[in-house]
Amino acid sequence: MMLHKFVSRNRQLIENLAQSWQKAGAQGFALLDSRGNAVFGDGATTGQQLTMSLGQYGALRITVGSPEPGAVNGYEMQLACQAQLLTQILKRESELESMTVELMGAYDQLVAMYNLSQATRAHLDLESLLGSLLQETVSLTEAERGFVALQEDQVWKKVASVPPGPHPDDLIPSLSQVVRERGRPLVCNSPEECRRMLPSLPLRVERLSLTPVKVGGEVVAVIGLFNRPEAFTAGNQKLVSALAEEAGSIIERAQLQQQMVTQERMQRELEIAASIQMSLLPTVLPQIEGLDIAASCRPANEVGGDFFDFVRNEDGLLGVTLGDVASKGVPAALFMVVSRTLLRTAASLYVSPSRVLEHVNQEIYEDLSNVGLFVTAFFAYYDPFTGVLTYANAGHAPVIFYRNATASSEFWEADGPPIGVLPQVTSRDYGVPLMPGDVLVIMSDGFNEATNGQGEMFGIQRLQEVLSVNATQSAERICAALFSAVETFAEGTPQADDQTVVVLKVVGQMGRGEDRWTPDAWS
Amino acid sequence: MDISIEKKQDVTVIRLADRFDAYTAPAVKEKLLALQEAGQVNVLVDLSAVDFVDSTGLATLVAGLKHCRRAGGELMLLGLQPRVRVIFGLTRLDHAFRIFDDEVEALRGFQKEDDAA
Repeated sequence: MMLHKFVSRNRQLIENLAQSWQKAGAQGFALLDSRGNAVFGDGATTGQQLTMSLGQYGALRITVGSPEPGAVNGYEMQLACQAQLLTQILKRESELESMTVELMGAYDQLVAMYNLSQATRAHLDLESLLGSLLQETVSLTEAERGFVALQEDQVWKKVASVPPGPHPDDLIPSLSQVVRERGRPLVCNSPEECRRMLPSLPLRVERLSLTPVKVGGEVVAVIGLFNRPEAFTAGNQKLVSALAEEAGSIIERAQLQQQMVTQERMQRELEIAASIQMSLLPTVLPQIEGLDIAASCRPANEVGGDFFDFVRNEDGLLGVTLGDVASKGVPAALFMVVSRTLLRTAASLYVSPSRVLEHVNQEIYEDLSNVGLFVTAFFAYYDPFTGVLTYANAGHAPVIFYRNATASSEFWEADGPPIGVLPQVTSRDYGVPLMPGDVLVIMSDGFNEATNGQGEMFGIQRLQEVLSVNATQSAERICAALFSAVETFAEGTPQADDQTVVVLKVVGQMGRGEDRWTPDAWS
Repeated sequence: MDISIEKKQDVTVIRLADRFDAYTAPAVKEKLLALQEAGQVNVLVDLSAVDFVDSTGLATLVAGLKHCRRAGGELMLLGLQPRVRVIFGLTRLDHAFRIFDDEVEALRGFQKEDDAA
């Protein structure tokens, strides 16, 4: 083959060579290929012949008739020199040619990679990217058909096929699984081999190449190629593996992008929930003579559904409420809005805290049931004229009351489940006359359920202790002491739930209605 | 979270383990919904291997309770660890649920519900 090309490319040179032999007295000159067929010159066999091998490429032969003795030696030497030269030239030519073929192959691959990188820029979705990658793979390997399968939630799904349309689709999952378990490429170059690997393969599959696509060492996809005119070579496989690497980075990029989108959305939701919560909480605290009020909410990273509120009704009562929607994020925030609005409405209708809670429950019970949530709520009225606090507690904790007269604190437990649990609120009203120095602390469970590094909870007992120690301080100081105690305890463990607190402290000699309404007060 | 389901006569026993919080609650919710769709209205939730319940976990149980009751059945609880019992006490959800320490007694509880109905 090589000799043919050489002769046709260098006919003039060969003819000159033949002429020189003719002048030297030779009757014939021929170049023979490796099978002995004349590629140049005749096949004349008359007379004495001298043949010199051109190695794997064939031979050089001259016919010299009947030369004088001694001349043959000279012919032989000359012929041998020429044969050696020709062999060297042929060898170089052949090397050059194979280099050219390699170069062409490399060029093809380069073009394919370029096309791919262009596609990566042009498409955004994973399927069309893998589709164009497969297209290049199939055309470079001259395979008859191919597929790319992607594993999603343990299920293999065909994301691209060449030619598009029906494929031995039902085989794709089992083929892909074989490669996933194997973790490296699998090549079968005969129908028997194919069948041995997967007996259910249809007969028309004679050769196949399956290559895993990995992301972070994990097989996430498979490139499959069926049938090509000749066996799948090591070169083919090297190319497919390179393309599989590219596919891996395409998939990884797509996954990262997806993660980023999801994270961004979650972040946005967190921000929305947080802004709803912040817009709900009162920024100005009510000014009630004889009452020192402080309130604060430290939201968790994901809003935990805490809210507090103060309302003054027409009778001059101060309504205080603290609630916690048993949910997180946007749903919690939305129910916070609804609950607070309903509590405000109810506070304008009823002077009984339990009736207020009952009203809210009636309005919201169905909605809460539909989404499977509930709201713990503490509601109290403080009457500035009598100094009496009336409260009802629907599943809310912790509420701690510090009694100045006995310098001790008590825990006001809920007497009924939260709003939204039962069709009727079962909590009742309780009345407590507040005396100067008494402190009422209403908190959310973010305080007592705060955990430290050992998974230990802060608990209500510790809250009571903090309150006892700080009871003589201002409401603001008590508030700060509670936050700092919980923070110290947590030792940097992230805050899992909102921490909300309202502190009411009775100050001065005032606060008893009887005192205020004596005639002296008017004078 | 480990969730195992066992059928005892006409009561389905769901056993939960470890933490029952915002992260593990969706799986439990899914199982409870599947039971509803299959018409299983008597459910006993075994919490004896659960060491922590947060408000989302509680809300999941409350939602299950409502669904069971609406369908003419009941959802009861079994085996509350002290830490979990405290949370049920604080929120007074122990008033809303029937809570048992013993499985045989719990199953008998369902029997009585049926007799009453």
